[in-house]
Amino acid sequence: MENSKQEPRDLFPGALEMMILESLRRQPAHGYALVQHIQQRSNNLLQVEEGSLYPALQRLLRDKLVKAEWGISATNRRVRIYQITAAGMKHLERERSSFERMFEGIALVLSTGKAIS
Amino acid sequence: MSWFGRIFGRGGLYRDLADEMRSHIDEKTEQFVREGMSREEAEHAARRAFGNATLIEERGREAWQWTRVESVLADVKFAARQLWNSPAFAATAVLTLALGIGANTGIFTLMHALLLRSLPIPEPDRLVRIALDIDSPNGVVSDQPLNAFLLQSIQRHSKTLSGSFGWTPFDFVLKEDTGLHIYSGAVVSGNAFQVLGVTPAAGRLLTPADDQRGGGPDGWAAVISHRFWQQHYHSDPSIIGHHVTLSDHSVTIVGVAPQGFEGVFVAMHPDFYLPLEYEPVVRGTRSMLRQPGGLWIMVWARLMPGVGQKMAAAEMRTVYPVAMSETLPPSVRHLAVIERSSFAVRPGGKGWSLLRPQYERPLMLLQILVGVVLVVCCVNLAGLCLARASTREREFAIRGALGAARTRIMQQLLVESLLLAMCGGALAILFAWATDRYLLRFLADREAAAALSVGPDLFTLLITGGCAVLCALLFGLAPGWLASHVSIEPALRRSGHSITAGRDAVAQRIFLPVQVALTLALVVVAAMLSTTVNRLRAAHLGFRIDNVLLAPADFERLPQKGLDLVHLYDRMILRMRQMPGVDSASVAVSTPLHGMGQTSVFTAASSSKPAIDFSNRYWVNDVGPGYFATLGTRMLAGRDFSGEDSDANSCILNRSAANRIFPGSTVIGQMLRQTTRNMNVGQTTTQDCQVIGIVEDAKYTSLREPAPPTVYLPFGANTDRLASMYFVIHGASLTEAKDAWQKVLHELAPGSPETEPISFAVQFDDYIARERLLSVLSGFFAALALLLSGIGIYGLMASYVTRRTTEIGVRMALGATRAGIFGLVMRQVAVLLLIGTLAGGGLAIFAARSIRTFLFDVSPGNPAIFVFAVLILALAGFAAAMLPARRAVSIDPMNALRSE
Repeated sequence: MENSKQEPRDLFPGALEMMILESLRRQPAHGYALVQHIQQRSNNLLQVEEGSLYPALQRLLRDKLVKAEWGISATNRRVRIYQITAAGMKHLERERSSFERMFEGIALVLSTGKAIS
Repeated sequence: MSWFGRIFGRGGLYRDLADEMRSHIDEKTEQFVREGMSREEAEHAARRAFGNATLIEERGREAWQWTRVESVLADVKFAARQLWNSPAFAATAVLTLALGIGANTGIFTLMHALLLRSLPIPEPDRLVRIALDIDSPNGVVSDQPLNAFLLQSIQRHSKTLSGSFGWTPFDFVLKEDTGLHIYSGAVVSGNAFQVLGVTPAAGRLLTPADDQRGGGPDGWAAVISHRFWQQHYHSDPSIIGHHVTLSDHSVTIVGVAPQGFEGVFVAMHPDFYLPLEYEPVVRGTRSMLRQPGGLWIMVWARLMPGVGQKMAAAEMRTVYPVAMSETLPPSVRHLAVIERSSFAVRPGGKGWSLLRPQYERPLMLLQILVGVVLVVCCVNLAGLCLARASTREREFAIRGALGAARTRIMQQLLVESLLLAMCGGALAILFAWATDRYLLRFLADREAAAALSVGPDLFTLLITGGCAVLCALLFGLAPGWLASHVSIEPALRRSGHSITAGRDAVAQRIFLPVQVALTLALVVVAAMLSTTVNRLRAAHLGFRIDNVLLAPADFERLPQKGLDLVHLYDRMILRMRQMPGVDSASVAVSTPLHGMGQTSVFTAASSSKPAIDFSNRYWVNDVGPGYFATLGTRMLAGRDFSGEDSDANSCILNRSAANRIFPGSTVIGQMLRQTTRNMNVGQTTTQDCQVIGIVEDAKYTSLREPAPPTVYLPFGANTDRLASMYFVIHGASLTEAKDAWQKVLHELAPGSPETEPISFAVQFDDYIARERLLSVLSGFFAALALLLSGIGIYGLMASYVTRRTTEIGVRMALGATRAGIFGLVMRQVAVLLLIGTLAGGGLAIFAARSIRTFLFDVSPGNPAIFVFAVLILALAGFAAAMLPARRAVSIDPMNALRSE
C-alpha cells in the first residue's frame, strides 16, 4: 500500500521495460545489478523501484523479450541472470524509435513554451 | 512459454521469483553493511527500501495469471479448508440454507409447473383463450367454456384471429386384449394442431377434413400421444393406419403427437386426440355438439400478426351479441344473465387448468411465506457469520499486516459465503425434489398431480442458483465489511478477546429482533391456517364420512337403458346390503363435497310467484332409497324413498328448503313444482311432486358456506347421467365395502369397466386439500423459523456469556447470587424478545389480515392465536437461552478472574 502513492515509478507506460531492455542489450544482468545500472547510467536521476522492477521483468519474461537463467553473481551469490532475446532486440528498436519521436515532440513543445515565457 | 506450461509450470515460476527477490534483498543488505550500517540496521533498511514484498510478488505473478480467477480459486480452496475445520458451523449453515432455499425451490417448481410454464408450441405468447364470463345474480363466474355454435360464430366474424379451435378433455375406453381400459384424451376441432403449430412425431395430425359428420377420408381419425406410442407400440412407425376400438367404435390411428406435447390443458395427459365430431358418436343422445345451450368446449385462438390481445378483446365484445343472437333461441337470448355476460380474451400460451384458479393464490401465499423463511435464514446466518468473523479477527489482522488489501479480505469472506450457499443450494435441490413429490399428494386432483412434472430442470436450477447467490450476498456482506475493517494493530496486540465484539453485538442485536418479528408473523399465520383446517373438520356436515365408500358406476356400455337400468341399480343396492360387513348402500347422482352438483328452480305448487328467479333456485340431487341412512343424515319428519314405483312424483326436502318454500305451514304432503327451462329450445316445462319427508341440513358442494336448501328427488329413468351415478356404501370397514362393490359389480353388471372407488374420508380430505396444504406447509415453515430463531438466540447469548465471563466472575465474587446471574442472562433475552414481539405483532396483524380469504371461522384478530404465538416464541427463546445461562451460572469466579 505504502509505495503506491510515491513518485512516478514509470515515466510513461513501457519506459521501465525499455530501460531494462537497453541495459540488458549492453550486458546480461540480474535484478539487483539492473537497479544499480539504471541508477548509475541516469546519474542517480532515476530511482528504480523494486516494486516495479520485478513485475516488469515478469512481463518481459512472459512476452519472451528476455530470458532468465540461474547463475552466480560477482558477489558469489546464486542469482537469476536476465538476457535479452532476439525478439527483445527488435522490440527495443521499435520502441526506441517511437520513443525518440515522442521525446522530440515533447522537447519541441516544452522548448517553445520556454521561448515564449 | 505455452499456455499449458503457464498453467502447470507456474509453481516453478513463482518459486524463482520469490528466490530472486530474497537474494535481491540480501544483496541490498550487504551493500548497506558495506556503507557502514550494522547488519541488523542494514536488514531493516533493505526491507524498508524494498517495500511490501508480498505485494510485489503478487504483482509479479499477475503477469502470468488470469488474476481474478486465480485469486478467487485460491479463496475457494482456503474457504473450503476453513469450513472443513469448523464442521459444526458449516453443517449448521449448509443445513439452514438447504431448508431455506429448498423450500423456495420446491414452491417455485410447483408454481412454475402449474402457472408459469409455456406450452411447447411456436410463439406461445400469440395464443389466447376465449372464455365466457357469466355475470349471474350470484356473482361473476369467469372462464366458462363455449360450445360448437359459438365457436363457429367466432370463426365467422373475427378478423383479429388467424385461427381458433375448440378443445374438450374426453375420456375414451380402449378395447385391448386384457379388457376395456380408460384413457384420457380430448376431442378437438380439426384445425387445432394447425393453429397450435405443432408437427407430428409420425404420420399426420388432425385436419379440418377429419372433423366431419361421419368421419373423414380415413374414417374416424385418431392421433395418439408420443408416450402412448412408445409404451404400447414401441415407437413403431408402422402402426399408422392401424384400427383400434375406441369407446365402441373403430378409429384409425393417423399420427403421433410430438414428444412432450400434452395438449392445452395443464396437468393432463391426453393419450388420444379425436375430432369434435366424434363426440356425438360416443355420447349418442346425450351429445352436446348440436345443442346450442350447452357450455362444454374451451376455445383457444391465435392472434393475427400485429394484433394485440386488447384489440382481440375489443373485437370479441362486438362479436358476443352477434354470436348469441345467431345461436340461441329468441326466448333465451334476452335473459338478463345472457345480456350481461361477455367473451373474455385471456393469455392462452401457458395452457389452462382447473387447478389454476384453485391453487394460484395459495401458491402465491406459500411463495411469500417461504420468502420470509429465506430472509430469516439469511438473518440467522448473518448473525452466525458475524460471530465467526469476530473470533477470526486475529486471522484478518494478520492477513492485513502481511499486506492483504481490504477488498481481498472481503472477497475471501464473500467466497466463503458463496461456497456455503452453493453447498446449501445443491442440497436444497434434492430437498425440493423430494418434498415436491410429497406436496403433490395434497393436490386434490390425483391425475393432475401425477401429470405435473416437477423434476429439477434447468429453470429450477437457475432459480436455486440465484437464490443461493442472493443469500450469500445477504448474509455475507455485513461480516465481510466488518472483518475487512478490523484495525490491525490493536487486534494483534490484544491476545484473547475480540475488539469488534462490541460492534458485532450491536449488529446481532438488530438482527435478532428482526428474526423474532418475522418468526412471530409466520407462527401467527401458521396457527390461523391450521385452526382453519380444524374448524373445517369440526364443521357440522349433516353426514358421516367414516367407513363410507363412493364407487362411481360406468354403465354406458350396458345394454340396459332407462327403467331397466334403474332396476339394475335397485338390484345392485339390494345385493350389496346382503354382503357381509355392509350395513347400508344406495346411489346418488352427486356426492357431497365432490365439487359438482345441480340446481333447479322450485316453487310451492300453490304459489303464484314467478317461477324463473334466482331466489327460487335450489340445489338438487337424485338419490336412491336408503341414501340418508347410508350417509347418516337424520330424517326429521316423514319417510325415506322406498325404492318402488310409488316414489314417482315424490320428493324430500332438507330443513332449510322446507322452511323457505313452505314457511310456517305443514310441509309433508305439500306439492312442490319444479320448473325447467331448456336453453337449447327455450321451452319451459313444469313438474309437480309431493313432499314425503324432511331431512336435516347437509353440506353439498361447499364446506365453507352454510348447508344450502336442497331438494332430493328419487332417481329414475329420467335422471340425468343415469349411467354414471355413484354408489354410496357404508360398511364395518372400507375393505369390506370395497369387496362388496367389486363382487356385486362382477355379479350383476359384468363387462362394465371397473372403476376405482374412493372413501368419503379421502374425498373430504381432497376437498380441503388446499387448506391442508397451506396448514401443513405454513406449520413447517413456522417451525423452521422458530428453530432458526432458537439457534440465533442461543448463539447470541453464548457469545454474550463468553464475552462477559470476567464481569460475571467479578459480580459473583462481589456476592451476586446464581439466581441473579441467571436473571441477568434471561433479562437480555427478554429484552430482545420483547422488541421482536412488538415489531412482529404489528407485522403479524398485517399478515393475518392479508390471508383473511383463506381463513374459515377464524377472525384475523383472534387474540388467543396471538397469545399462543407469543408464548411459543417466548418458550423457544428462553429454552434456547437456557444452555448459555446455565454456563454463566456455573462460572467459577476464581478461574474467571485468573484467566484475564
